[in-house]
Amino acid sequence: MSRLFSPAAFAKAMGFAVGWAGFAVLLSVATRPMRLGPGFSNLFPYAAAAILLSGAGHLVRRWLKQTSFPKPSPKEGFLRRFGGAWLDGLLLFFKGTAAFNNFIFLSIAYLLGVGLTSMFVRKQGGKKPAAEAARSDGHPDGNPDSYWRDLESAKREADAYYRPF
Amino acid sequence: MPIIAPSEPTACEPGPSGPRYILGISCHYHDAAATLLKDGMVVAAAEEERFSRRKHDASFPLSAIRWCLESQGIGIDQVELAAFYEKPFRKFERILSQHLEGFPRGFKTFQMAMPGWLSEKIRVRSLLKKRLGYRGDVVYADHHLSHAAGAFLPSPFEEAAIVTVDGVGEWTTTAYGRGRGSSVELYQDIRFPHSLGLLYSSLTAYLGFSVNNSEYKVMGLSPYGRMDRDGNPYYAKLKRVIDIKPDGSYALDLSYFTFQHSDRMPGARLSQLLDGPVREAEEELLPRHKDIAAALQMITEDVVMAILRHARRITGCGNVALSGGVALNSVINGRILSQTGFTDLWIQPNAGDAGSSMGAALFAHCCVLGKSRAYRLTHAYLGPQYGSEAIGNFLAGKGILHRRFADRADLISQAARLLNAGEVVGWFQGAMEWGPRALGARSILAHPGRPDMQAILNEKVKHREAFRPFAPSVCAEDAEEYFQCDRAIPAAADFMLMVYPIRENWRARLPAVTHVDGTGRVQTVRREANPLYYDLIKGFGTLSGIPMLVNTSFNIRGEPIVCSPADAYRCMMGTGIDCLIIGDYLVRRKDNPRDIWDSESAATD
Repeated sequence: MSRLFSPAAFAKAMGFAVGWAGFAVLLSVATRPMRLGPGFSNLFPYAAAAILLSGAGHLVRRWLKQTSFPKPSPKEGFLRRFGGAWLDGLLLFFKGTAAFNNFIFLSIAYLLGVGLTSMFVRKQGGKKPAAEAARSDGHPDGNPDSYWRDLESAKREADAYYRPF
Repeated sequence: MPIIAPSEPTACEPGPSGPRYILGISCHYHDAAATLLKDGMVVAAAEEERFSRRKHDASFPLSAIRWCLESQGIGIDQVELAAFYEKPFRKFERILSQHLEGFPRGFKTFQMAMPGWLSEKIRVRSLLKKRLGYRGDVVYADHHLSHAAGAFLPSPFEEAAIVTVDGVGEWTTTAYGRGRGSSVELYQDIRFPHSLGLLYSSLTAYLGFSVNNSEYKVMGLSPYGRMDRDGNPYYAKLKRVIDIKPDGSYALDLSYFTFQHSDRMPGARLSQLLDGPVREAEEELLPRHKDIAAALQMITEDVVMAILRHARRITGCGNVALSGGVALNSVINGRILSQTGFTDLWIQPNAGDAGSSMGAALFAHCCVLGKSRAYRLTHAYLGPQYGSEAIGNFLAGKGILHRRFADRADLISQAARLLNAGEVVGWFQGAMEWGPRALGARSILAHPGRPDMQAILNEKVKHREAFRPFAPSVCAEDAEEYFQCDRAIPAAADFMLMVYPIRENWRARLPAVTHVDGTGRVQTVRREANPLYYDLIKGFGTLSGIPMLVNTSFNIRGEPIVCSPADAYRCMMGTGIDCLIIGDYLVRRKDNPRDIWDSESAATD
């Protein structure tokens, strides 16, 4: 019987549940000014939305191969281990929601920022992105017998190395 | 003032408030590491993976930095300057540029890369402040300048050509230049997406091995294929993928690759060219795969040799210092002196990105601060070490049955006797090695003359592919008797970075270290660098008639080399290692049956 019950798994499940409940309440508060959903009278739609967001986020994490490395378990006694597992469960829930949020914001940034810029550059037909330029002119210094490109490392001032660019 | 070649380097003296410390850091891509300089001398260097126990750990090397500082008894406030191994904004520019070019194909890689970039990678200074409390100046050396500095500044040369070849830094993938005195200068480069390192990695992925991890397996696999430029059809096929000029410069035909915009490296066209799909990890290795590995190795050799000949011609130097991941290709290294006109060669033991932390720190010291170059790297034992008392306390604290050797002579004679009896010995002595090779501080040792030893080590101890060879350690003055070495064996052989043919009369007597093509990746051992290991080899030679040992890294497949006594004990108990000689103590596996576990299921790539 004791094999069926693992305190660590129970604590992790509790942590996850607390994260879920907390996020459901947060959603209900945040959407109140927009009058989305039934409000405090019925929290179940918010709870469903919260678990869907977290689940979708975990699917995104899996697609992006974002793995979490297991931390060594603390050995300082039952309470610390229990607390650590509880925190792991809480983080498990919020990693999902964070991944979903990142996915949405980065998708917008990619489509609007990268996409529009890329299309603009292509339409202009002028200066190509550097990687493409490095490829297409092949012989960077106009020498058909060589692909070497001159570096000017000796001309740099000391200050140049105090800058990250 | 041109900063790369300070006209009058000033002697490095302790500052008014004590010694000057410079902290070198490399991280965020693969193999994070830290190096600490004290008045221009390297006093500590270690990779993060050894502490975190995650192989190729790329995260900020907090544990490695903490250990470096603790080893000198200082705090972060005593570090005068931090040196980062590349320029993060320039690298970010390249990443964004790839996405602009690859839109919309790079959607997934954009999603994968951006959170890391925005949260940490681009903000090195604030990261140092947040994680370490460091508030001083930060120097950012270019990626390949860090490689170049890491290759030349710790070398024994006063002047040398420098060649760096790796996957990609900011933009540069390949470069050459010259080092003289305290200065380092790069003359010319080849830029992304044209990269010999990425070509090798793409083919590594095609052959079913993990990228940035298993390139050396492809090198080990290559002699099983046809190493014949006319007879191997894949050599001609791969020549279509890369255009090589006589001066060693090259360009890839990018239609064969997808690494510019995808997390998968070989493209569909490459699979078509190589007569089949990408091999799955556990799929059988066919003769075709072996031929492809051989063709890749020959092409890489063609390019590297041509670059080296070009660098020799342009710089006029007789010596060469190599760096970058490609410099870990020990098969090529073994042929450099005989094929390029250089008379001496030096490669630092950690030639990949982790070694750039040392390069960045030395670059900051010599080229940015203008101090004179005082350090020469003569051994790789720069990591943590544990005294006899600490080891004894660990063994007693864990209730591990052990025996203490009477003295050093007893340790050597007992170890030699165990090895001669065919036992596999875990050898944990002194300071941990800097770099990916175990060099007699964190090693698994065995008898090189036993015909079954290669199979025992591959199957029971390392849980790895049967084709992979093991390296021999031999005392430097004995090397020429067993190997067809260069006339003057380069110091790079001390770091197990050179492959040489084993003399024909010895091949049958050294089955555990003789690869299928009759070569061995030799480590030459000098008494001044590691007297205990040197004496052990000699002692073993007295008993067995062969003063040579099989030396492989002390780890399980997929795990980093052991760092602490606890790591070493755990590794021994999970594998077929018979005993552990740790400091002054002998621990036998069979004496501690309660701690035995099976590491085979944990062995991954």
